[in-house]
Amino acid sequence: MSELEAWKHADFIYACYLLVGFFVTALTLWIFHDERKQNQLLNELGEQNDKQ
Amino acid sequence: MENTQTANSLLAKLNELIEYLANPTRFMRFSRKILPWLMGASALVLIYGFYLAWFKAPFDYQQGHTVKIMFIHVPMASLAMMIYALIAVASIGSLIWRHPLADVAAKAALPIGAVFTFLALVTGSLWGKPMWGTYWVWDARLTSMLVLLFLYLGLMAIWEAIDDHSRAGRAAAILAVVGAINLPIIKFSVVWWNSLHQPASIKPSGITIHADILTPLLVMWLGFTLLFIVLHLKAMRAEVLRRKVEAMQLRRVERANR
Repeated sequence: MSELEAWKHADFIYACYLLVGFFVTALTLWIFHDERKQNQLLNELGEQNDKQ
Repeated sequence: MENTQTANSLLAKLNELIEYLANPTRFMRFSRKILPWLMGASALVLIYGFYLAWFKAPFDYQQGHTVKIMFIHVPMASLAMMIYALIAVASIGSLIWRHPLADVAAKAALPIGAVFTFLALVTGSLWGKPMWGTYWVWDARLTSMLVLLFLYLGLMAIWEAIDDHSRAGRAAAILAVVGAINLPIIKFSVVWWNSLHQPASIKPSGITIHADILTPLLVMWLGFTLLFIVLHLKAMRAEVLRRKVEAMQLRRVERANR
């Protein structure tokens, strides 16, 4: 098999890596954002409690 | 004999760690310390894995470069099963020992497991079209993986549908433990039934993959495993914080009503 033939299904390979890249990045951002949001909420509630 | 002693001492150490982390405050402190290291290790291993997969791994004599899909498909599929096993063990911990972080661990792993299972199915399907001539067959391995995805979605739906954490946790834990029957079905489906999917290439009896292909595969697997640990710890931290926020909001409402 030549190098050119070996890349015959390149579109399928790129599609797989792009899909995995997209979903794993989206999942990572969502989880990191969620943790930061909860932390912020907790701090805000703590500050409000202190004021009261 | 020595192996048994080593295994026993490892189990005892693991048990100590689990007991130590039973306190959410201690878990938050511990996870904050180790997360930067784990994130760095995960990024480095994944970058090295992608480098090996794209620039070093040779093409397969039959599949050509389509073999590169395996470097992401196999880690996704094996982690999808391992994450479910973790959820089942955490669910047993929650049902029997009422470990305070067990249902947090089970709930936090659900979206990660669902995404990994979905990606295992999609990448497998995209490999199947050029290699098998079809995107999908109702074959035992593929169907049982699809059932795993539905189990993940079902468990997430239970957590969303029931407001009370303890009731939702119990219902999800029971389904998770019952659903664990699917894991040996996925694993041995290629042995028990005639399947289009190839059998395992890494077995106790030997490895049937050449080192040039095996190395990037193992590095990618390690990278994705580290990434899962990072995401799981982060999601657990978010869940612990969410419960604290909810408890504080509840206390405020109670105080206002007094």
